Amino acid sequence: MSEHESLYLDVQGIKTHLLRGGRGPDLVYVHGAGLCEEWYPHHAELAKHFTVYAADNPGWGKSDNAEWMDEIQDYVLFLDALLRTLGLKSPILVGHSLGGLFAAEFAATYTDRLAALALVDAAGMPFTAEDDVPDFFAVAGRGGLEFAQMVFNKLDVAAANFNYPPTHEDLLRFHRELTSTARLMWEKWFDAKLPRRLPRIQTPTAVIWGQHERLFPIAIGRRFAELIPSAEFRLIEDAGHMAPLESPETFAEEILRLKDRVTA
Amino acid sequence: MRFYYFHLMPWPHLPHDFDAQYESAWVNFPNSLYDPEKGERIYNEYLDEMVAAEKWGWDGVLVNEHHQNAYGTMPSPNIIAAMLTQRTKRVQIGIIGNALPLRMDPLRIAEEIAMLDVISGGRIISGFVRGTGMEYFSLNVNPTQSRDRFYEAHDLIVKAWTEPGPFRWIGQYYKYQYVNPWPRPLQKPHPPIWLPGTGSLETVDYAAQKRYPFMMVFSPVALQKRAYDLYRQIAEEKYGYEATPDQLAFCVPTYVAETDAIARKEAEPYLMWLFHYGLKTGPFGMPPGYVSDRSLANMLKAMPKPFHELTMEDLVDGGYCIVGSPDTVIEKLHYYAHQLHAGIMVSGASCGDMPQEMVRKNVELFSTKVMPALRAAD
Repeated sequence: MSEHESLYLDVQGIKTHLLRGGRGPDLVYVHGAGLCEEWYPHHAELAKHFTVYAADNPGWGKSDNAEWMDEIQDYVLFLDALLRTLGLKSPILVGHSLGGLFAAEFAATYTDRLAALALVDAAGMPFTAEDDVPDFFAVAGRGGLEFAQMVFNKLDVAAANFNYPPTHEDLLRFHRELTSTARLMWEKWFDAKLPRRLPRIQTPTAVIWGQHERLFPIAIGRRFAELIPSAEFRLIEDAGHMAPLESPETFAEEILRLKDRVTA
Repeated sequence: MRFYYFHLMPWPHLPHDFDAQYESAWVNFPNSLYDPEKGERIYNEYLDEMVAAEKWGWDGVLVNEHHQNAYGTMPSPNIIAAMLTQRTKRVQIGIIGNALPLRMDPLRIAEEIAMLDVISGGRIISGFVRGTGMEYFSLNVNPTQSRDRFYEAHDLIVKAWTEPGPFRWIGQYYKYQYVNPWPRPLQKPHPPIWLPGTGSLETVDYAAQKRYPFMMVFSPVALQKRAYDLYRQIAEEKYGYEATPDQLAFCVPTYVAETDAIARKEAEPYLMWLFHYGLKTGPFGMPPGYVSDRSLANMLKAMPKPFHELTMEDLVDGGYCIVGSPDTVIEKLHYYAHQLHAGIMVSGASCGDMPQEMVRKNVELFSTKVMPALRAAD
């Protein structure tokens, strides 16, 4: 693992845990419903090319809870406050899953704050009753292999990163992460206004999807790319919803490709 | 001791391969397995059974609310309660309860209970519950808001019943320019409120503070004792009064037969139906945020057996259920009365898919051999 440091910030009054490592252009990584708190292989790969800032969102990891934050907008404003606290003028913003929704809404709200945007297996796109989108919380309730198969294509990566059976500590961590997710998404399922807002995005954008994504089918990823004017749609072979963790090198190459598009 | 005849109105005709084929009797258990033509007979048999409880001398009849499942087919318990107001004369009629957070408009509950209370001549008991975790899946209600919605809806309903309207309500979840329900309830200050629960510190404290009867649901007698001790202790030390037996209720399936051995043998399949099939909740029992992180940590520490792993010995010897000869059942109820200081028995005679003739025998033995002995001891 590459060098990184763990620090705590006060972001709009909320004690926020941040991992920082690497050298190069600034890159802010926003985690999804899970995969926070630790310096994962995808952070390490990105840190070979970028200065990576990976905060735990309020309600996740080692950051405090902020139970009043029950709307996507609250996390968009938090992200704004985080960038100001870190003094980042024009970072690359990478959001995975639920963090992809935060990042997309941020880019549509603040159209001149980012160097580039990457949405990775992002949440939030409206779907219809006919679309093959599983009930995320029910599958999370089943846990074990069924949950692993929903979010991972490479089960060996799942096995390397998660205990089975989970410890009590794991169960309590999942419960907190899922509670924070449910507070935002339980009855909403998606962000109904997102298709109206995405065309506002002026930042060069990569929409990156695992080829075996089973939580948000590929058609949903293509929809993001169709709605964002400067977006390029990219698939990561052999990966599922957890593409950054499943294929960290390929994932980092895709972000480098995005950076090269910006400088070119 | 007072006796309340509780009915879940289950759907008794589960397929023979239910346990192997279905992960749950709730949420996604297909409703093609519900047969409305059989349903007509079943609903009416259940109603007759509840009406008969009045003649058998019970103090009240109780119904409750469950959605999209085979365990209890009363999505709207107030409808059944309305029928019971017309078919009974004396008994109290309890809804234990309306699931407050599951109704987007709690003022409707204030109105409906007030209607029932007036029509029944003041015989209504109004229980309030949060609804099960499964119902947050079925009705798309956010489980992370469950507790706060419960408390706010409770406060709104009690104020609507007790303070003159119209008044304005501005809460976190509910806003009304005009709270002014017609009719107002007959009982003063309002129909009795019961709180069913599983004994969390927070619920027990809340019930003790409001002096509401607290009812333990489907738990081993050791946990019931702990909850009642806690209630009595909190009442005395924190709120400065002595809790009485009519504040402590226990909901325990009961089966009486000629001897202990016969009772166990006869009751076993139906108790198993209830705990192994009816309460099979699959992945839906504990949605995120339905309990706090702290409560979950306590639950993981205690780690009680899940319902579907309980054996007949666990159920009877652990005190989830009361099963035996009249003398045995009387002895167990004396334990509740004298050791636990609990004075409200919530039971009934039917359980799961128990056939009508067994229900009839059970209610007759309980009502004629057990109840009088407890009443005489009061």
